[in-house]
Amino acid sequence: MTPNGPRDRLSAHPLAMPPLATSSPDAPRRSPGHDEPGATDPRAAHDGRRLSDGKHADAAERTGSAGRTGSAGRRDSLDVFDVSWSVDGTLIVDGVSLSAKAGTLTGLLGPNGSGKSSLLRSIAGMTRPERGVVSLGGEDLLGMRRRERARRVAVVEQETHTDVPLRVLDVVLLGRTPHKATEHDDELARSALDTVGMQRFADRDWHTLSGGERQRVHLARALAQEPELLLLDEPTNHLDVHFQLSLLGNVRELGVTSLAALHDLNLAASYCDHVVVLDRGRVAAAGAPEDVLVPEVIRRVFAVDCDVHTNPRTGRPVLMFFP
Amino acid sequence: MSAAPRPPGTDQRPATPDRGFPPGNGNLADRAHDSDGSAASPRDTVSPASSVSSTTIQAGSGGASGRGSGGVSRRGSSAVTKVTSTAAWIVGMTALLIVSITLAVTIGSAEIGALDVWRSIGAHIGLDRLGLDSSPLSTLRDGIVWELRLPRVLTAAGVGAALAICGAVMQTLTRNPLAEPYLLGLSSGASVGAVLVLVLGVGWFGLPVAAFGGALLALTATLALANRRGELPPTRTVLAGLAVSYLCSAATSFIIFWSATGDSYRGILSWLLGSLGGAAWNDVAVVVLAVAIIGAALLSRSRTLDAFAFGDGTASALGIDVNRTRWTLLILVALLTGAAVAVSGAIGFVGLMVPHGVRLVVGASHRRVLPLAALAGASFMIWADTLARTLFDPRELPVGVVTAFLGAPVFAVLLRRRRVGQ
Repeated sequence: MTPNGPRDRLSAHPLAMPPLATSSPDAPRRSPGHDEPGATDPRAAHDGRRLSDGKHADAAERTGSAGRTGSAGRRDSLDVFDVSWSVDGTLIVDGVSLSAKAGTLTGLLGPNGSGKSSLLRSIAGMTRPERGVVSLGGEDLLGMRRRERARRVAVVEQETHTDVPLRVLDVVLLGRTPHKATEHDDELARSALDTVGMQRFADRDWHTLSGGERQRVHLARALAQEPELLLLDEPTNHLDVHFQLSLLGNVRELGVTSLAALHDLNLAASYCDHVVVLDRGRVAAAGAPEDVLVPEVIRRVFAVDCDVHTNPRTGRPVLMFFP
Repeated sequence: MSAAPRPPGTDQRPATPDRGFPPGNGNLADRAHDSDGSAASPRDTVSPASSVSSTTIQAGSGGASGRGSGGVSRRGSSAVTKVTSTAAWIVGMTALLIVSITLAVTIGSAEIGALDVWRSIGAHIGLDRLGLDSSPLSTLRDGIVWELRLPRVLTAAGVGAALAICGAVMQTLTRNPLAEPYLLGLSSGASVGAVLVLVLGVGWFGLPVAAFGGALLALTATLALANRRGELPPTRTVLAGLAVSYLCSAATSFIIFWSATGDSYRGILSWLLGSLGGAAWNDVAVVVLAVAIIGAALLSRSRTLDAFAFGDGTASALGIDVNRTRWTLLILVALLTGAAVAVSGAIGFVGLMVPHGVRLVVGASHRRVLPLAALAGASFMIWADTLARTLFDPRELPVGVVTAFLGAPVFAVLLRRRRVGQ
């Protein structure tokens, strides 16, 4: 691939037009037939995008199968357009545009300080970007009321701690905060724990869990939020390899549109349908992992030499670094 | 590889915060825990569980599902147990409070029976007119119950409840387990007001008004100092409160140093350490009304408070307007603390300990913690005050001394017996 300047690519981006029109064909949210797995081929709405190659068929199939078991109405694509955020006069996020197709996992990569977390926080509305538009299934996320937004978007942070004695189930129930309380909340929370394989831990004290278990409980908490968009900020930090793989595997199986900031390029290569590389707050490259994770981009952005091979068992790219 | 070495010179902007979330470093222990095999159970179940559970989620929101119904009924019963145990705690603590009020009124130099207490109360709230009971107490005994002891006991209950509620909310909002109701400089501000009245005889208004005014001034100063672009960062708030407290304490000491003599000195000391002597019905009205109104307002925000458990970031991602919530709730807490300080002085330890004690027993959910802390704080304060006035009769200990003496061991026992993993 020839890395164009990010601007060039983005101007050809469908989102160069304001993405706000709720009736846009990109936004079939809540339209009839939308719940039917076969009816929404993500490719249809995203023609001409880099991702619409053979690789993607597999993603589409996967989201289709997730659609059979997952709840309906969660198949919304995320569109971020020209988002900027600065702190004390320093631009941290500098005109970032990206999009994530409905039901796919997009990896957000980049060196330390490249603005991954800040971008995620801007998308989540935890900080207010100075400029830009963020829309989910065609609906403007930033203009929404907080609580309304929290019903659509859930965030899993890298590590959070608490001093108070909480049961695991109480932590998961926090996910119900933006919703009206109902008597199903308990059931929902327990189902979310099931999904991440933590059902037996419901009554355990949070403080007795290991790092990997805690992160899964946080994922369950985010699921209890019943989000249409899942944002993960380095969710695999400090986890051993098993938990890294199983956490991302979990996320993928959900079929919820997800955007995850990841440090481990190989992890991103094996789990993400699409990756976006940030460098100094700007998009340096975006596309399918095998198109983006190439030696030129890695050298330019991370200042590291690498070779890219193909994993013989998964067919995914594997990066080997030379310091 | 994430920390790939970068040749010097390729570095980017200085000090760009990459992560907005506080980096923790306590995870080495966690990792060790991961690998010791105790976590083996969930690993095996990941993939099969996930496919089953998606169905269950759908069922949970949609309605009927044949699958997993056995599980649901089991879960249902465990939820019921939890609710029952909370309800049982509340009923039990309410009963304890009523018994405490009754017994505390009977204790003192004049002999009063438990029945007399309720006879007097009945007479005053008009139950005797219903013909329920009409063996009147002597005017003297009725006066002891109704004019002296009952207002004091009820004020103690109100103050204890107020401080416990305020402590619980303060600890949550500042995410500081050492937070207490006086954190924002309220007690020291109130002290300045009180000392001005006690020593210098300044002002035509009474001591409670002066104390409340001082507390509000100190609160304003603290919030103004802590405020940064409309936010109240927890650590900054704690530090601002400390600064204001020290300033006010210095002012108090200065006034005492220059003007206090003998009796007024003792009066000041007893006020500074907290005292419920001389509590009257208007004190009861102030503090009980404040607890009822502000306590209900805080209780209605208990889910919001719960969301602060993992910090501002998580709360905000859960749809909470962190700043507005913190401003509103801190001001409510300050008003409630101010009411307590105005009638009793600064009584330490209750607001710090009672919430922790309650959390250790029923967990951290505010819907359980706030009412139980109020009830426990009320009973605790009644007995602390009863001891304070009877131990060295006719001299009175400052009740703050008693709360510390009683509270510390109880707290230590709770801390040691804390059950891990239920």
